[in-house]
Amino acid sequence: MKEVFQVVFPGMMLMWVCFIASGVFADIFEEYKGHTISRLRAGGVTLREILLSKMLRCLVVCWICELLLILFTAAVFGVVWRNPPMLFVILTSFNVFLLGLLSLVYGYARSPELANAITVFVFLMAAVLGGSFMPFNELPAVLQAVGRWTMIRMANYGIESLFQSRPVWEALRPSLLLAVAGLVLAAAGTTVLRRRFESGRTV
Amino acid sequence: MNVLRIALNDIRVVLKDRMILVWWLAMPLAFVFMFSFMVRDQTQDGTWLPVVKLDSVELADVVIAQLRTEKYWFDVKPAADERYVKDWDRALIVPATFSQDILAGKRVDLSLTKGRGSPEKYLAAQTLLFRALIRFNTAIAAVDLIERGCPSNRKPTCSRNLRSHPG
Repeated sequence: MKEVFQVVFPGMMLMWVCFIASGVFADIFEEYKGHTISRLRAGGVTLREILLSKMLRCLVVCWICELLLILFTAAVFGVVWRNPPMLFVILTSFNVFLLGLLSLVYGYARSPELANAITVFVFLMAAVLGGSFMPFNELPAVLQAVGRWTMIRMANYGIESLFQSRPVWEALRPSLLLAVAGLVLAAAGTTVLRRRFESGRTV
Repeated sequence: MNVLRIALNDIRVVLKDRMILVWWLAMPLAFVFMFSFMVRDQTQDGTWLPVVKLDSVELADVVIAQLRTEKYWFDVKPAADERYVKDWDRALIVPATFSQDILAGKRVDLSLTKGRGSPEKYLAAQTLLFRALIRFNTAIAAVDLIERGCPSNRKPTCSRNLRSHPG
């Protein structure tokens, strides 16, 4: 059972984190409609700060969720999560990319509902191609070639590298790519979201 | 500073909701359980046997195909992954000269490495390997007989050797 968990669990965990992050991120629009953001702005907080705080909240929620799942699987199923600092770096870069992607999609989509539909589609595709539902090596070669570039596979590859004690650089390389791409997306996404809220266009 | 203050307050509000344990822990675990049992058909009790294929000729694929049964999950790795073998619970290494030696009628040793994994699973992998080698040797002997024109009812004297080399 332990080995099955090591094969299947990381991909599943990453996919689940995607959906949780999406739900938490979408709360920004609820808060906007409920005038929470307006009240904060009246208190002298800038929109950029509000958006950054909401993204930070989302990041912390992802961390908590991952920590709970990792601790639970380690304690109950005996899954050996090797090299915790590296695991933290891999998961953080994944979370940063996720936040960047979410901010961009929610910033550009015409309505939060449309953004929700887009993210569900993107996450499911990434999960299928990234090997969340079955071991990545068992996928057809064409799907592997495409799936290699999904965020779930890139993070999962890092975790797999830790399980198999591959060199640190090999585990870190895809994560660094994710982190850089995530930061760029997050910067763009924050700007787009800020303009959107400033113009009052939320629906 | 405002960013941290707002984020902390938000997190406090989120954590007050007891339902998060269901959404953040119970649901993903239930989901993983469901899929673990589906994947279990491939991994069957979690026995994972990575096969490092150093020989790129088709004959190596034939012996790997003989290994494949419903009870194990074989993970064929490229030659570059040989350096990770020491960290795996167990691994089968198909040598680079595998096909060449078989075709030359020389003895070939396959290595089954032993790591920190369960000894029962290692034994199971060893048994599986022996069975596969018997099947493979039988097939090689049959081909050999046909090649040399020996009648099939005569005792074979011209078969080639393939042995496994544990450890």
